[in-house]
Amino acid sequence: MKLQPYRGGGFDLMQETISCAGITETPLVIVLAQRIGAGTGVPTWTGSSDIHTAVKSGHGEFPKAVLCVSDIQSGYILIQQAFNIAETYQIPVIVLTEKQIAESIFTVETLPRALQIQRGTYNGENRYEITNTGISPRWIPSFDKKPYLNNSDEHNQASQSTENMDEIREMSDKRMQKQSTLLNNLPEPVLYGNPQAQTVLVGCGSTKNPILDAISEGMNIAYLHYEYLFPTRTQTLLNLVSSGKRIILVENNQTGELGKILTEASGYQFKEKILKYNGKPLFLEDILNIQI
Amino acid sequence: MAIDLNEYNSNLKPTWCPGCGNFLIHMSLKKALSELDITPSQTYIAFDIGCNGNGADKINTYAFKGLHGRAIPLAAGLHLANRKFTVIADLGDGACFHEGLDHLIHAIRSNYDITILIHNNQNFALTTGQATLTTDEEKPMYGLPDSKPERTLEPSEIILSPNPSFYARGYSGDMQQLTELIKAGIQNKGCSVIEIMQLCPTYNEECTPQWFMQRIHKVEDSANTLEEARKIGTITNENINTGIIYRNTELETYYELQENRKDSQSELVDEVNQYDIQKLFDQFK
Repeated sequence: MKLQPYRGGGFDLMQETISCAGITETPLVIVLAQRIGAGTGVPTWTGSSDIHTAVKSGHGEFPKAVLCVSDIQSGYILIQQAFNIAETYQIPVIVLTEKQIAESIFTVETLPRALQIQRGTYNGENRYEITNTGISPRWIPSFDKKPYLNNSDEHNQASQSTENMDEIREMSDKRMQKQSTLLNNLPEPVLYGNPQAQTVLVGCGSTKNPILDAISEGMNIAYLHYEYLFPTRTQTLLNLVSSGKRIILVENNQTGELGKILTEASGYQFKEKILKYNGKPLFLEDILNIQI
Repeated sequence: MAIDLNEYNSNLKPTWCPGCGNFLIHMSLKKALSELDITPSQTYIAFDIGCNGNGADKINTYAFKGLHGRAIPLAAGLHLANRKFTVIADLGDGACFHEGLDHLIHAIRSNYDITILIHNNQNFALTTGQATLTTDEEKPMYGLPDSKPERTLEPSEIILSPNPSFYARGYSGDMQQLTELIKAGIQNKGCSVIEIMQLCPTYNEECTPQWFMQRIHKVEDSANTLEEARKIGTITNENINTGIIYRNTELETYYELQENRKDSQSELVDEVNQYDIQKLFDQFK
């Protein structure tokens, strides 16, 4: 169990760990603080162009979760959820934040009580036992318990390396079952603003802040905000689409990375996009200038 | 009363080549644990990738088989989480001096209380014999039929330069000595590096048991200075010294140097607690 903060370059460098945590089913929390640009990019300017790399990180196929922070309250809640999800499901969890959020000053009256820590550990015979939820027993090593191997080789239930075709498929299915179990337990994205409004903006991260400002300025819109980004819940989005709303994707990157993730999960193609990728965050004027 | 060696065996058979040095290295490790009365549940081994790593599921202890070159950071983390465990990093010369060279240097200078076993078979053997920095410069290798263009480096130079707490060299053909060296490494408080000259009859066929026997000399007394250690440690065409080459008992471990852990009685793994940050907030009101 580990917390590791990175920005894009360091995240790329260390991606082998995510894949290893995936197959060994080791809880891992990574904070990925995004800024604009590939390579060294534009150091100390903001953007959210690492969403896709977070969701797609690591070679091979394994479950993971990606959460997206937008302000101090969500950071406070989501980092706790990240640890609980990582330990409960024994998966890597990536918490996305942005330079804009990390270096902004927020004031809060108070924050809610801390969430109950969920370590998700329980004893068993085999470390990688196949279960209905996909979650296997995992116990903190101690002298009075049965030793086990965390194996980055494909393995059977007893953690022995395997090249057996049935065992490879069964263990892959077991791991991926955790993603389905997790998806069932994640909340739908939150709809802010006027639910009757014809125009619905969709976004994640710091874009929430100017959009909520625009709503409080009286702009007649609704805003669908993704905090739990992957695995992806799509029912609210699809309901809005099927009710004939005008959907606009708003992102602080060049290619609409959240949109690509939502399209992959829902099949819905975004027709309108507002994309800002000049190193600056989205401002209130950027939102107020949208013709509705 | 030593623990029954069968306690450390899994029900799998090793897959190494006939004559591989890994058989006796594994047996020496099991014997060392047994003779020190360290049970399988008190042992955590971080395995690397390679022929040695294929032993991960052949031994019954807590273990983590991670990624190529990354056994040492796993071992360091395991040790810092719970210092009661006997933590061993088990890796080859390819992983240790190529992918994981930075980890070796930093583990030695950080002086984590772990034992690093380097299986030095002078090549990347699992991938059918590519050159490592210990491969002989003249030797044709798979993918390098005209031999490697790079110079060979001396592992003892790399290991000694960050001033290790303990450095020994063993030989896979001498189980009795190797067992004693592993025991001494485990008992040493600090980062213990044990370089094991390993027979590889498949990809290093020139270096037969006879070849080693002609060159190996056991040193009785370890060096007191790094200069002396370099002299003893350097491998020449005629001579390979084995035994404890260097000890530095003055060094404090990484954990001992943590100011905020000075008075703590518990281990980090036991300290996951629910904290109420409400009082912190009240300070800002």
